[in-house]
Amino acid sequence: MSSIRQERDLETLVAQATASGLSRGDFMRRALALGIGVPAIAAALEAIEGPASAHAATSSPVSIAFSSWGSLDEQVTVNQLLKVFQTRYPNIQVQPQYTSFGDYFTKLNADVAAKSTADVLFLTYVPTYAAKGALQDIRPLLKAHGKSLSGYTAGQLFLFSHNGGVYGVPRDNDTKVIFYNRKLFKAAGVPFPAEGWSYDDLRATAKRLTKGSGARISQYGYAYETGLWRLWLWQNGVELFDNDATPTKVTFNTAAAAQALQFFADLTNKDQVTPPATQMASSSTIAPLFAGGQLAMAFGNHALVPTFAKTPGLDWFVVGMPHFAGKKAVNAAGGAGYTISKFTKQPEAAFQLWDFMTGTFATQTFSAGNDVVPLNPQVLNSPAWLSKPYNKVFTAQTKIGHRLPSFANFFDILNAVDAKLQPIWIGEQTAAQALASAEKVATPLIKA
Amino acid sequence: MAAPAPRQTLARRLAGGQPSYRRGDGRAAILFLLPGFVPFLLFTVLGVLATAGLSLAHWDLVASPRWAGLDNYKALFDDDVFRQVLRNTALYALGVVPISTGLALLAAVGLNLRLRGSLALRAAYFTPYITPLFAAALIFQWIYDPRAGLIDSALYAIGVAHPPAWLNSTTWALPALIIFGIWQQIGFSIVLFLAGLQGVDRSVQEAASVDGAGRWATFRYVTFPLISPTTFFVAVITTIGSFQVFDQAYVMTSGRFSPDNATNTIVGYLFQKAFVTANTDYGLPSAVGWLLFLLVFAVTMLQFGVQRRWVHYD
Repeated sequence: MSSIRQERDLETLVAQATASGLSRGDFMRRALALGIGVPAIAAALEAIEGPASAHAATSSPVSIAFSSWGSLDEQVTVNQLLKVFQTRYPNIQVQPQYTSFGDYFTKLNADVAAKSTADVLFLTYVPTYAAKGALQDIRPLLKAHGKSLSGYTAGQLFLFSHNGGVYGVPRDNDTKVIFYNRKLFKAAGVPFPAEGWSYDDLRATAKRLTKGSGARISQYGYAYETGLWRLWLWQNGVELFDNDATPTKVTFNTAAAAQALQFFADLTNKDQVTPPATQMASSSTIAPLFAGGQLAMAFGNHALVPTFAKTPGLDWFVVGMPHFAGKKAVNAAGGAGYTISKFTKQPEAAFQLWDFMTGTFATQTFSAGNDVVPLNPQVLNSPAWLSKPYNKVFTAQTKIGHRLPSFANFFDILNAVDAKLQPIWIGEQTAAQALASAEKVATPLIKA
Repeated sequence: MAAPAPRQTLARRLAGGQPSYRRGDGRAAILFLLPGFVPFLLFTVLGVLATAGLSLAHWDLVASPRWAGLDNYKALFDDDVFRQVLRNTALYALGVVPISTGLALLAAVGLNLRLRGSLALRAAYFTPYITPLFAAALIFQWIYDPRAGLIDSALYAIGVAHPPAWLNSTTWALPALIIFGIWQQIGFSIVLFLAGLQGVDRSVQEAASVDGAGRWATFRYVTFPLISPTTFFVAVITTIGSFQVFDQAYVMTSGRFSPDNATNTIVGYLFQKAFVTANTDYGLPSAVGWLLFLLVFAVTMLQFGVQRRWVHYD
């Protein structure tokens, strides 16, 4: 098969996989069925991504590690991609290390303490780890290999920048949507939510879809992640800090912030249309309720799609973020990406893997799957991606994304503020009281 | 030619009633101990000693450690959250140690009567101790659910209008943790008490009965003093375990020790400062570790001091 033909077949396959709703495991299996086996895919990469690095191709065998979080579906894709990589670079053995998102950073902090992290890391909160000296500035590496960051905008690289250095590139957008169970809506005679809806609409809808009261609730109307409070603030026009990169003070202790947070607390404690706070700690506690038909609307991102798509009898769709009265709808922007460890003993092999994971083939393979919203605008608006109706909602929502602040202490401030806001969700403090406490713990951390 | 006499092993000599040790046995013993002792020395003793030094320094793992004197200890006592976790840990120990010890003693005495079904009950009591903590904590998370949980559903059913919100309440979250701790600990304590009770010489109890002592008096003045070493042992190990509580709170609150650190403990705080905080100063968690050690040491010494008044080894 010629390389041009292989390239075309690969592109066709990506489109077919997207249109027919294949999982990425099936996608790879179909590639094999079509005769585009792992070695052939690797060979085709010559045409897609240029020749393999001469240095990597001729060096002696080395072993490196790649760490990531992600669903089982995502792990299947990564494993397949790593197989392709190893066929392309037979001298580089890659050991994947998967950890749940909840434990990922705990493990990483311990690894950083031991100066023994994986060589290539899928990562967010990048400036925190760049400041600890755990990551490599990728620009000199790119320059040494005759490459550049020209395909990325400054905005996309913001979350990966620290003190003038760039420590990685993003893979996807952490776009949020609200999943809704069409069967439960139909059973209750409630119209499906429509784009442009407001939080008042959401509250009314959730009330109609909640069944039972007190300790006898059999179906909840809505569930949100209590840890995503920053998004509710943005949606009501509140910024967290006076500057997203070099903050000097917190700016979230305002009446508008209190109004936004109190709205969500009231959904839980007054209206009782959501599960209790302990069941809304993360999407992993929300998803089973939605998949089990005990929840009509669930806040979440594209990572939930494979689970819901595979749940028998679950008839779901998505709708974009609602808006507060008089305010515009706002979503989260930016996502995690790939970085290279400063502690790697195999910098060349690590760079080759990083380059492969951020390259065209890996990006297209991920977009053909179901659980990330691609970063690349061309892929995001491609017919293949948009052939799934729900992806149109995700693409539209990326246009209203609000970027995360990005500085070394941000992660610690988020955790400290999150603890102080927890009494809101259980109805023990008003949002105004909790925000005042949160400001007190966050202010010294900014100055630290 | 006569074959040389085989060298006798230490075990054979002991079995044969010969003198216990010979010259060279000590060297052999050291060689046998080395494979365990060397890693213990390298990875435990040296690590522990290093944290003593680190607790007096600031160290971010990148730059060289900087001398801090007692700054880390001062910072801990200036931190509202640390004072809160100290209080939480003390309350947890005060809740779990006496209640689990008392209930375990009561259950062991009952099981020791060898009534019908005792064996099944013994297995049932011990099951929580061997149930994987992660699974048990997840189940308790649901049991404590204020909207669909087993406890609050039952309380609603009997007319309690506002049952505790358990893990969703700063007031009830710690009691929820204590109840879980008691449930988990009790089985192990029962086994220890049963062993103690079965070691009691029945003739002493029978003599007390002959002298006219009733069941309570026999237990109070004969059985309990005879098993007091077991009670003391149970109290000491449960206390030490209670001061180290961490994982159940971590699992039940999805790692957040919510709400607002109501379920956080000394070890949880140490964990957060060492591994969750991104900008770590390893001096601070080292100081927490040493404070925990000193606290456990002081409480254990207190227990040993007081035991002379109530523990009987004869």
